[in-house]
Formats: sequence, structure tokens, C-alpha cells
Amino acid sequence: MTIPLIELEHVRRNFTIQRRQLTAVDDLSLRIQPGEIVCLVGESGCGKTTTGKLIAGLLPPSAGSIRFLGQSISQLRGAAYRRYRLGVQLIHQDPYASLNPAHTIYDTLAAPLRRHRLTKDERATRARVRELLTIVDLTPPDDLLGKYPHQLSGGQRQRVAIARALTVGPSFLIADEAVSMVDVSIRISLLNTLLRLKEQIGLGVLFITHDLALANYFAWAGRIGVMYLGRLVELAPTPLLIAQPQHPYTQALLAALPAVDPDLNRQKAPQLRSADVPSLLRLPGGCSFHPRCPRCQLAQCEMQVPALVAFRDGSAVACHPVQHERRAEENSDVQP
Amino acid sequence: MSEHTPLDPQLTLAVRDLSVAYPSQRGLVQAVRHVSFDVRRGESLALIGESGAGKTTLGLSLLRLLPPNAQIGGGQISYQPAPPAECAPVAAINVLQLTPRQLRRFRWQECAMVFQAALNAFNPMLRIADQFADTARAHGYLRGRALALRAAELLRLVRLDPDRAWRAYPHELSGGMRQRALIALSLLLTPQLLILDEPTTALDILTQHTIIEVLKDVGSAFGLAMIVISHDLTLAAELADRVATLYAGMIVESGDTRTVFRRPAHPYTAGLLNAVPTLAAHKQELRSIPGAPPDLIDRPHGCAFHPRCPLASEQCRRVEPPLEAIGDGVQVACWHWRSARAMFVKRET
Repeated sequence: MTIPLIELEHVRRNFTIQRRQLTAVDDLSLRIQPGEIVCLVGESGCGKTTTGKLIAGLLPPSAGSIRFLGQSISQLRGAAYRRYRLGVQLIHQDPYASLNPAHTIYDTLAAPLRRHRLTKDERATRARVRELLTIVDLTPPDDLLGKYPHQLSGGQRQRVAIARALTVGPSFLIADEAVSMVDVSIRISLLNTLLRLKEQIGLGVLFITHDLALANYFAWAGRIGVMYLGRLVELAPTPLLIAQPQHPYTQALLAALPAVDPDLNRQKAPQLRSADVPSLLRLPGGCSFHPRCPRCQLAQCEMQVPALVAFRDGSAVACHPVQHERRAEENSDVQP
Repeated sequence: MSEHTPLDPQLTLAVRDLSVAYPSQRGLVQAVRHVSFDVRRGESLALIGESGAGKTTLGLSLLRLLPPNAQIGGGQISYQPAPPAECAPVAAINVLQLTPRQLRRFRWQECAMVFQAALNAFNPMLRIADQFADTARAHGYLRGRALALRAAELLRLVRLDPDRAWRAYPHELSGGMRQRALIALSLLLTPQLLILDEPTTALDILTQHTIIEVLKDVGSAFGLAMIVISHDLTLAAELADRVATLYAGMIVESGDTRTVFRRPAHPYTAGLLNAVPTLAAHKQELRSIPGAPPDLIDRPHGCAFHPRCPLASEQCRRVEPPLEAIGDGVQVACWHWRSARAMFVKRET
């Protein structure tokens, strides 16, 4: 078995807000192999961004461990720590805020190359910057070198942000809502650039988004994890999750997804008992989805937090009723 | 002169040849250019387009809420109030000529707007109850218990619990609840026309779904006409009876939602539809539109879309195509709309 690139084990992260404890991420376990694509999907406040920051090392976990190539990141020192920090790069949501407005594109891309002594002289730096801009489809690169961020469109800026993440030769990218600030007409080409990079460089990608349709497009060859109020409630290979969603929350998300075809929309409606997400400060007991869940019948749902249980087809679900059903099914499979 | 001859009684709003520009150091930014459209009674119209297409400027100009430096270059906005019970046609209101006093009456009572960021639309220091009272007082409307009863009715209509929402401060409500409270408030003075600027942007999918359901309920309960401004084509598909695509400040295609989304006649509309990921999308070929939106100060010659258009010809580079009716109630501004339609249909099969 290969060592996972990234491994999260029972990770929890608390925040203190006005002297009250809030758990943004709870009991999250996830393994990402080298070159794999995983999408985290969920509504705002579900902990997907916090998860990205935890993996990037921007926040320490309150409990549990995060490993990079088998080593716990909190214990990394010296060269090993450097290898991790360079190996895991983050692309932020807002390309208007993530680039320094006073630096030219060349300066933005050359700074990490110089800082980490990745190129031996200025000529090599210039050549590498040109190469990076070409990799992210900003051609001809010479047109952009002397420009400032305000002279670029949102899509171009986001490409510069991707190029900057690639300067240090990472093996893992975390893209946090990386296309949601970009116009609809150019999102797909940005996603295609990321997908091509994954193929060419063998990058692993954690793609964080609230849009299941986007996740479906981007992670077709990978897995989607659905988060709800800090917990991973379902994790499955993308085609399986889209075709056969198991968790009632995933089902509701899929049913709420609008289509561009006016006729398709009228056929479906998510069945939820309540439209509003509970506050993280007052989480319901038991399964935190139970007050909204159309399938909640068991007393267990209100008493006990369901764990994420894996099944034979590669899906994993944290839902008591679904787990009971599937266990019964799998047992009956074995007998004949 | 703020009144003129009645419009077609079927119409609530008629915009003719409206242009809005902003002066800047480099020259005039032509945000809206020669835009004409109608909104029928009880109908919802979606204005779709990318950032910088002029959607918000157009929406603001309908209520004369443009920033002071904006210049209305010409055109007419006519609003037809609902006829009273006796059905005598009422004179239409010329919105661009209203005096400040008339304008105050026009806003909220005839036409209300729900702004983009529901977070910022409320005064954070006032409870929802006080926000309602504020608006009611400014317009000499109900007060006290009568107001509370009317508001409770509206809050229930937008699926909020009046007992919880009425005494709450804005920060105590989630984004979706705040947006619904704002919709309830906009309905307080029973307007005929509601303008919604990006009503679901920045909201989660399940919340978006609720907002859309609420807007459908509200529309049918009050026979309200709605103008929905959005970059989100799926929202338009769910909510709007008709859509108009804006590009570089101009309407390039309009028609009923089903026809436009099934058989787009403008290459830009087709391009947008091709760029929206859906659950079935991996099977189809999703594509971005190459290039970037045009500079509104130094517009491309001819058709503004030609630098990004796969069908661009010499004619497109030289002459701007007019918005023309092409049957089925569809209007399009493209020299090659037949090819554009044929291309999109081919992709589907």
C-alpha cells in the first residue's frame, strides 16, 4: 500500500467566539493519495474552508492528527517541514485580494523562486516565470510580466495565483472556491487548466466548493466528500455519489441543484423538514442533521452521532437508517 | 411633466432606448446602451449577463437610484400603475421626469428593490420590527399593532417564523433568513414591480432553493411583476418567464425562457449555456467563452461580441447588428443567428 499524500485522522478544530466554544470541524478522517482529486462540498459554515486551512498548516488542529507523506505535520522540523510547506500550496478564493496590488506579475512570481533559491540566477528566474505563465495558459507571457494585478481580468488574476502556487513545485494543491469569483463564461477553462496540471505534474488536488455541479465536473475521476456542520457525512467516488447519493443531506443538495433547462426544474423538490441550518453554537444532539432530515425515525438519530462507515462499493456514509439498510443488504449478498 | 399617455394595459413597465454612462479619467464608461424592454403585468423577467455587463446599472436606473456621477444619456422609462377597480386606464408615470416628492412615492409603493447584499441592506442597530416601522412611517403607512399584524402575514409568506424574526436584530438571522426578511419588507407597501439584484448570490444551494420558492409564492400571491438581475442562468431558468441577455450594456437576445435556453439565437447566450456545469455536463462538452468582456470605454467596432465570437465575419467587425424580432417572440442582435442556433442544436444531439 502506498503512503497517502495527506492523511487526516479524527481531526477536530474548535474556535472560541465570545467565550463560547464552537467546533468547526469534528472527527474528520480522510486519506488523499498522490495525484488524487478530492472535492469537499457543503454549505457555508460546514467547515470545508477550515479543513483546507488545517491541511495547509495555517491552523493547528485541536485534536487528531494530520500527516503529510506519513509524518505528522505538527512534528515536522527543518528540511522536512520545509518540504511539507512547499509541497502543499493553497489557492485562495478572491484573486482581487490575494495578489499584492503594488507588485508586477513578474515580481509576484519571482519572489518565491528567489526566496527558496529555486533558480540559480536572474536569467533562470525570468525563464521559469515565463514557463509558469505558459503552463497556466497566460500567453504570450511577455505581455504580462510588467503588468499589475489591476490591469488583469479576474480570470487572468486567478491564473497568476495558480502560477504562483506552482512556483515552489508542490505535490498538493488546495483550491478553496477558486473559481467562484470568476465569471461563468471562463470558469470551465480555469478548471480545465487545473485538470491538465493534475495530469501533467501529477498534482493531488483538494477542491473546495459549494457547487455540486462544479464538483461533479472537476472531480469526475476522483471523490466527493459532503460536509455538514463540521462533519463528513458522505464520501464516495464522484460517479457513484451523483448517481446514488446515500445520505439524505446529499440527496437534498442534489435535488435542490437548479438546472438550466426550465422543464427539468419543475420535476424535483428536496424534501426537508426545515429550511434553516442550525447554528454551530447550538448544535442539535445526536446526528446534527436530524431536525431537518426526512428519514429520521430512529431514536438513535437523536441520541448518537453516526460515524462514517465504509461499504463495499467504495462509498462511506454517516447516517443510522442508511447504515442499517446497507448492512442488511450486504449480509444478504453474502448468503446465497 | 411626469405623466403621459397610458401604456398597453398589459404592461407594467416599458423601457425605451435607455442609455447610462459614467464619466471616468479615460473617457465615458457606457454601462447601458440603447436598452429597450417591456415587463408585463405579473411577469418575471431575468436580466442575465456577466460582471460588467450593465445589469446592476440598469436595475438602479429603473428606480433612479444611480450614483450621482451617472449620466442618463437618453431614453424613457414608463411605468403603468395598476388600474383601479373601475378599470379606467390610469396615466403612465414617466420615471425619468418624477420630482423628488413623486419619486419617494414611486419607490416602495409602486416599485421596490431587493439589493444584492442582504447583509448590508438592513441597519444593524435596528430590530426587524423597527426596520418595518421605519419604512411604514416614512410612507405614512400602518403603525403599531396593525403594522405588526400585516408584517407577520408577510413574514409567514416568506416562510419565516414571525415570533422569532420580528424581534430579531439582523445579525441574529442567517443570510437566507435575512434575504427573506428583506423580501417581506419590500412587499410592505404592495408594490406592483419588484426588482431583485442577485437575490441568491452568496447563498447556499438549499437556501437558494427556498428563496426561489418564496419568490414564486410571492409573485403569484400578489400578481407581482419581477425583474431578476443575475449572472446565474439556473436561477433565471427556475424563476423567470422571460430572459434578456445583456452584453457590454446592450440587450443581445430576449425571449421566453424556454425558447431562449433551448434554442439560443445569440452566440453569447449559447456560449453561457455551454459554460454552465450541470450534473450531466461531463457527458457534454463544456466550454468557456474565449477572451474577456470588452472595455466599455473603448468598445470593439461593429458587434461588441465579435472578438470572442466563433461566428464572427467581416460584417460583424464593421457593422453593429440591430436587435430584431426573429419569430416566437424572440429578439436577437446577431447577423448570424441562424448559424448560432444550428450550432447549439447540433451540440445537443
